[in-house]
Amino acid sequence: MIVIHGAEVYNPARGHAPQPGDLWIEDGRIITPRQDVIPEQVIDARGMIIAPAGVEIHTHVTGYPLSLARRFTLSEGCRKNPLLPSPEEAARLYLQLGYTTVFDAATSPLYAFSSYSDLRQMEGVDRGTFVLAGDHHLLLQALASNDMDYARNIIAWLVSCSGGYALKLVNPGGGLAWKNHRKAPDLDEGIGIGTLTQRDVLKRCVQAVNQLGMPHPVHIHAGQLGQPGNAVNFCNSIRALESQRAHLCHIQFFSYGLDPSGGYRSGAEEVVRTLEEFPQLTCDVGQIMFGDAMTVTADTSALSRLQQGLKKPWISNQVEAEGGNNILPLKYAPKDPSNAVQWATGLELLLLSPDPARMFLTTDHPNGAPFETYPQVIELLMSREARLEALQQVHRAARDRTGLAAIEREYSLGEIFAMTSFGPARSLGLNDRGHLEPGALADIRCYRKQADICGMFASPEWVMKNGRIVYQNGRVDTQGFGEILVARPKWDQDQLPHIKSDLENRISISFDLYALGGTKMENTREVPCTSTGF
Amino acid sequence: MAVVLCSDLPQEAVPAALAFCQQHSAFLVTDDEFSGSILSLAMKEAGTLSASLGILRDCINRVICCGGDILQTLPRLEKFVPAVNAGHVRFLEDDNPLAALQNLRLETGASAANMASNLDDQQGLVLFDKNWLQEDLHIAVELLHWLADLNRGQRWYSLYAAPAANSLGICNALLSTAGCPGNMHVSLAGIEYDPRQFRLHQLINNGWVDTCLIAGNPSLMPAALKEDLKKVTTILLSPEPTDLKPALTLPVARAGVDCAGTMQRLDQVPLRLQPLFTTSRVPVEAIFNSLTGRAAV
Amino acid sequence: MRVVLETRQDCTGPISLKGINLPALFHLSQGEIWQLPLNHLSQPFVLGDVFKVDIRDSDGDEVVLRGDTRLLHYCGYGMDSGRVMVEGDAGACAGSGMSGGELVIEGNAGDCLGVAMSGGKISVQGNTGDWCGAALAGESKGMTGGVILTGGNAGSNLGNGMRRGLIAVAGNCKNYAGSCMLAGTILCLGEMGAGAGVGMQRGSLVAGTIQSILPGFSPAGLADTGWLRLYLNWLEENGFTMPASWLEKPPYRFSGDHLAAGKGEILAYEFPQ
Repeated sequence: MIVIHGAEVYNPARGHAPQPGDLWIEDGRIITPRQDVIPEQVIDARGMIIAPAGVEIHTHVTGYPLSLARRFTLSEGCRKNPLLPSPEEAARLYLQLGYTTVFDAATSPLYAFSSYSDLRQMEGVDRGTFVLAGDHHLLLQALASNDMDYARNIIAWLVSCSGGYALKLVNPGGGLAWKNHRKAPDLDEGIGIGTLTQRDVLKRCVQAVNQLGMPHPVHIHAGQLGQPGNAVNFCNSIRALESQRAHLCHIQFFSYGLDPSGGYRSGAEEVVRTLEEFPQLTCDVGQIMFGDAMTVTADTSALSRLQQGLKKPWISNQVEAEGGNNILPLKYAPKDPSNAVQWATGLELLLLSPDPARMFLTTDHPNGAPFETYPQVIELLMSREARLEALQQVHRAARDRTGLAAIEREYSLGEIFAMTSFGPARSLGLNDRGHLEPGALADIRCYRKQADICGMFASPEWVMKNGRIVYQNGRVDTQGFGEILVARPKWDQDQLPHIKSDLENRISISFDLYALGGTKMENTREVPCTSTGF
Repeated sequence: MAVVLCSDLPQEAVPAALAFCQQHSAFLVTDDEFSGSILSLAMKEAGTLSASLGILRDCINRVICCGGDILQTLPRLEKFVPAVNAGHVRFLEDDNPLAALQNLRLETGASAANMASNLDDQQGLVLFDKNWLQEDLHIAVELLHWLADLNRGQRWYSLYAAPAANSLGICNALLSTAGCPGNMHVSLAGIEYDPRQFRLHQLINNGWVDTCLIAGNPSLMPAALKEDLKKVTTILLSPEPTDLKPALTLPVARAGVDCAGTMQRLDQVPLRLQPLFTTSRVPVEAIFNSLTGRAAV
Repeated sequence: MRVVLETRQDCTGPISLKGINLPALFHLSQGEIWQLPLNHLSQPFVLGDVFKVDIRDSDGDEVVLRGDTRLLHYCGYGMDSGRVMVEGDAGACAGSGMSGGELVIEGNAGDCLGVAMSGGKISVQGNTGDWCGAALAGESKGMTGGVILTGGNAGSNLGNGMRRGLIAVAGNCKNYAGSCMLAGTILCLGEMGAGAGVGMQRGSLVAGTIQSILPGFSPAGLADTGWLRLYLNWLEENGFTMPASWLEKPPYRFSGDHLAAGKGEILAYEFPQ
């Protein structure tokens, strides 16, 4: 039994204000304070801030695309690249930032084993991955014939056999269109399979996943990523979900208005207003920060567009029956008007959005910036002064074409914790974390109170996982901690021959070896599919 | 010490070998340096477009083979690329590949405007083997540049026909765990990468290593390198006898025969191999792990 | 002051001087020099383990490396001033990353001489290996300043990615001289190997004869050699013997590589076959 004594405790489940008091921990979980026993260990945390550990909802740290991406960083000398740490390093770096749960955003079923190999190495954190299916032939066929029962079975089978946690849609139909030399379909344009449109795919997938009761709803990367004026299409995509539960990822890349000059302007207000109509949706922002970045995406349409504009070498790998893996190195420059607007738009989205438990901080690592920049983003959110100062350093488009300069809001510490712990955990359907109620996992971060916000968030005093301190004084102890979180939605085993015969002529691998190929995953924890939404 | 990872090992050997190297502050190289550093550096320079075999099977109607005997080394290719059977194959062979590629690029440039309007269902595949990487980085870079030029107006995928069973798997596993595809020095202080100095030939001749631990069957090693190996003490962890004369040989299990393991296909799709027999032989990673464990005690 | 480091007889392994700034030795006492750790690639040595150290007064400041210098790698790594003299062959990566001062190698130099150097002067009396004055592997920018003079032959990829400065080779050089060059000048008094200037954007390659010329280059008449004459005069002052034909006629000019930016030139005194 451990007691953390004397700290300011932020429990996002009970509002944003800190509460004084002791935190009792037994067997790796938080318990109600006891009067009758003397704890074995008392951790003196006077002058400290205690909060639930961070939960990362969208990052790219594992799998085959990262192996491809690492080629772009090859250079003689010592290897330390914040953009593409090895899975093992990534887990340690996340722990050092106070995050104990990390979800990788994309695994193609065909390369599922590469992701699993990498996940296995991420000791120290609970981790999982989302399965890509936005261009999956089988799924699109089933959706096209409106056979929802079969579609549900395919989704459940795909997620289970790839060892995933949730379903991810990346610009549905976009990869297919690219392979067929067409431009990515608009929301109401046919994607080339029957009369199926992107709107249908979004709506029906979201419905199917919610019916399956999966802990995390569909993780959606919408269409027209990174194009000026895409906010209109994005808002329409939001409405296309018809008030169902879903998660929209890196929405900064979808929140652009069209400037009369043809360039970017912020569409944050419009997007936030639309999101407010649908309280069952959650989002993460995908903030960009200036400096080097690496685009790692399954959205071939969007990336080939960007590549043609930049005329830089890219690595693109198309996957059978699915989309592709695409890599393009980038640099966001503060003096570039487009990048400046993108940067300001992300901050604007975060600051305009009223409920931090629905709008989460991510940088879509490594697409927007490395996750190590989170403390810098938090500082910009918590201090208007810092924001205005930063705004002076960037191209004036960020002042002229976004509403950032006028926003007075400053996040409170409580809101930051709601945004980085409570909200993502709830969206992921992980009710045992993100808060400090009795029964919750004792995944806790502790900061020393100080005026330097960035410094405080960059170096926690200590971080606890399952009731044991795993990071303190620069030392990380990851051994034996953390599990791979999986969801195994129920599906009708009788459908397997059907799935098999449909898929077999699409793939070049024997059906038995597809995805994890029946490999028994080790060190996993199944999160039950009993979600009823919120 | 240098640890040489051979291209017939499953990718599971990589993390174990890395941990071993870290403990002993050793060099880690592969027996197939072309698939590793040269291809990777060329991709960094010029990028590439590739696709999994299923896509090639369904879309490809033209094939260019760089290297005359490439189809012999890939006997099952016809199954995946029917265009090969249909005779839509061109061979690119030249004594001076760099000049040949430059000529092709100049032609491509001249007809680029023409091609841009000709975007149809024609999709092609360029296959190349290690002979186009062997001599120098510049040939590989020129090849990939040519592909990028072709892709301005048409759709050309490329595939590298790796010379051994799991050249690409080892390379990808190294990239994923260490961040670079071999040619590195691993120690507690970190990993240092140098594709010019940390090649086995250089390491031996510059005197950096006195012992070589060769894991797997070094079938890809050129004869000159095997000659170099005579200057140092070698330990071999191989499933079968080789023409090297090591100081010590430990027979190990072979993935897919007497142990499980993951190899990567031509298109880098991981394949999980299951054992056919049960034997007393242990996999390479188990040997690395026990060596690491023993030294730790 | 003259600091002489002589390798001990019983030292047979390779020694890396990476991390040791040789010109900084002038400010140290003999004991301090002894204790300098040689910690590149986890070598468990201090400098005194492998070198006998001798400090003498002299007119100029100079560090002399002596003994079995063939085993010394990274001689003059990162040096910024002073003079370093290697009495014999130097190992690999000599003068890499140097930004000033002078490095003199009396014998041959290994691979990667003066990689990523930004200033100073390297003179080699013998031959140099591959990647002389090149970029670090995986980087695009090679030597960004300074001078490398080679009395013998050079290896392949001479001046790869070079951005500024001068490399002069009295003998021949192997393939891919001036590959991916961004600017600067490479002179080779003898024969230049195949693939010269592949991917070069700007800069000048000057050769006595050239083995072959890539398709990416096109003939562009005879070169105006005003600037070249200045270089040649300077080289003569520095001990190079110019072939007679160089002073008599202008060289042929090829421009390219048209597959890169294409503003570079190769000047050859003998027309390639």
